[in-house]
Amino acid sequence: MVSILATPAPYVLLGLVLYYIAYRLYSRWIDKRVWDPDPKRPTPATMYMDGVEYFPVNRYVLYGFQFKSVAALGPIVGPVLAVQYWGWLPSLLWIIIGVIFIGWAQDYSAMMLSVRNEGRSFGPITYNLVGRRARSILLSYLFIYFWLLTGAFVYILATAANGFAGTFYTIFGTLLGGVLLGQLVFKARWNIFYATILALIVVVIGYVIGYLVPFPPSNFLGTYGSIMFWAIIFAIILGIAAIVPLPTLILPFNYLAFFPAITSVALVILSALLSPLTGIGFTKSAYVGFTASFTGFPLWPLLFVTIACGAISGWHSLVSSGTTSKQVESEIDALPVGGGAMFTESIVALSSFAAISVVAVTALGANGYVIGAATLASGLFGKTLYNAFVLFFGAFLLFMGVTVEQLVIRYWRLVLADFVEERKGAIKILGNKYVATIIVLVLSLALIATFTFDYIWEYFGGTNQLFAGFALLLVATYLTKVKKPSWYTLIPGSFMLVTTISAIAYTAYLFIMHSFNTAKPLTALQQLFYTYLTSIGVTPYPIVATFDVIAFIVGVALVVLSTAMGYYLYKSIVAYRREAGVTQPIGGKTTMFKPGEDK
Amino acid sequence: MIFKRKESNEENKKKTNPLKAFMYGFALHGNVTYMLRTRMYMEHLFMLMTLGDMLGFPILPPYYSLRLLPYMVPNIKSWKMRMLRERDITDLISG
Repeated sequence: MVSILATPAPYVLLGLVLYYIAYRLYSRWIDKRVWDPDPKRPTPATMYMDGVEYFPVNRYVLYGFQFKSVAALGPIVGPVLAVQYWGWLPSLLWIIIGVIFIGWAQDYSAMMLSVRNEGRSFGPITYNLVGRRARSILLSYLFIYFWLLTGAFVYILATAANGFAGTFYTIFGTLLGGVLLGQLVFKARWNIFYATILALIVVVIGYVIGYLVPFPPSNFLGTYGSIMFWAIIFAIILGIAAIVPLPTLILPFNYLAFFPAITSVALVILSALLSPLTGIGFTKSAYVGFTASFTGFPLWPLLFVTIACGAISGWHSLVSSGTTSKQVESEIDALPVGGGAMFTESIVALSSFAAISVVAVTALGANGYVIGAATLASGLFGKTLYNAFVLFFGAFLLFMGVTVEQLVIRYWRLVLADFVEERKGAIKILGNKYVATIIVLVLSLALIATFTFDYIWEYFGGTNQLFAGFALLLVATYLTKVKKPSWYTLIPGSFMLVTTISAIAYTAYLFIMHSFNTAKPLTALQQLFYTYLTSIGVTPYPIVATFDVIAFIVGVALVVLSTAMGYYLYKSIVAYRREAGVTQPIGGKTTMFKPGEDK
Repeated sequence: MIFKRKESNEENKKKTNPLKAFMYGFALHGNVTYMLRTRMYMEHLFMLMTLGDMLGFPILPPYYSLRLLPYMVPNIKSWKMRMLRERDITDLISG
């Protein structure tokens, strides 16, 4: 019999209870005292209603949409890595404390900022509040962010497809089902219900084939060769999906993926909460040490970028101010939609924490989640179903990666097209949708090929969290301008800025130091790259050193851009404080500001 | 309980099922929004061709524009608003 405290159940339950209390007390207090939403004040959805981009949407619908838009592989992979690096206790603490004091505040505030600024997204708001240069830095930043995101996620997809033979057929079945659904609904005008049933049958066939035919087997081309094989396959699929019209593939695929995705999350949470009954307990240490195992990363600053989306994520501010803010029916809906979706995503992170904590083997990357989730679920429903659950959760992982990546590559293409739009000459070819898509996929495959996922994930997490810092400071800038208390975003934003710049700088330092001594690989994972190159008669050291230098330059570029952005943001805050004639400390007394006083 | 708020008389008349609404939002709302935007761009193109001289693009001869005018009048105001609205690349990022 396992002690209850040695199972994930009480900690997941603690997280859920703390989220509820934080939402009811802290979030609502900030909502009331700082933003003071007025249900009678028209939102952009009602003011500019056109039935296309601006129209009021029910809060529950928006909550579902916001949650679906922000949830991806981040809250799943981050805790898996962090628990194995530093132990489950610091990971759990950051997930819970991060979301309670920083995560929900960013999502909600970004949404309110947009709602109070005519539904504008982050680009124009940055331009208005901070300046033209800040917006240019933001767009440059998005380039690098989308590239790193693509590299990290495609690697995760490849390792999952390789690690769990047969899971690819579930994706393939869902892709076919999606194409079929798209044709039935948009061309043949079928009723969506019957078309969904037919498409789901195709999906289930994919699952059955995947279960019965685990081919190709794991590592059929050697570990390195197999992972690169799957990476290329997924790159091709994502490239096609990013180019064809959305209703052909992406939209129906995302719709079909919803059914297994929501089931997976609910299953893992339920299994974690019932783990005392099934006797499945922790196998990982509560605290390994300040220095991580496997990689030697220091807990500060790298824990805070390893666990990204489960605690806080800059991607969410883009989503909050992109479409959602244009559809908020009333200002009082922003908290349940923005804040609520973030708390819900943190629940996904709690499920990932629970899953990896019960895994007895070392399984870096998202594969640890699959093994842990299957362990928890089969403990509840029967150990004979373990292999079926491995397939099920492996498919869930692939869905979460593919649904977001299809859109991210599309966005990268659009950002590149926007960048070259006003330029002349041969550079304009970069705006071509085929060229841009091929570029991002080739660059991502180049990232993956070096097998430095542990480091690339830190870069990705760093850029993601840095974006969150920008968003928080932008909100603080606005609040300063309109003479509202800004401490609840200024302090976390400053923390995020300092921590993430440090994390990226440290990772860049590791790369450049390794470039002087490439005889030893960065990690055990990179040894596979060394072995592969040696097997084909290529000396690894020049290639690795070149990659290290490029990675160092990327890190330096990120640090420089971030520092510049931070400078412009703080400069704006100081300027607005002077303009407002504020002499009191930043926290101030909330009673001194009249609620509702906006501009 | 988290989403409870005071409801107007009109809202009392049609109660939303929160779970159904959430599922719709999760599964379909993004698709619906995209389809609306796609239709908007096609509409923009058509309006631009037929009534583009209102925005400085004289494409179609006035005879045809005038023949189509009665059908376009209900859409002109919202079309102009959408065409002239400030847009940014970050508007497109919606997950």
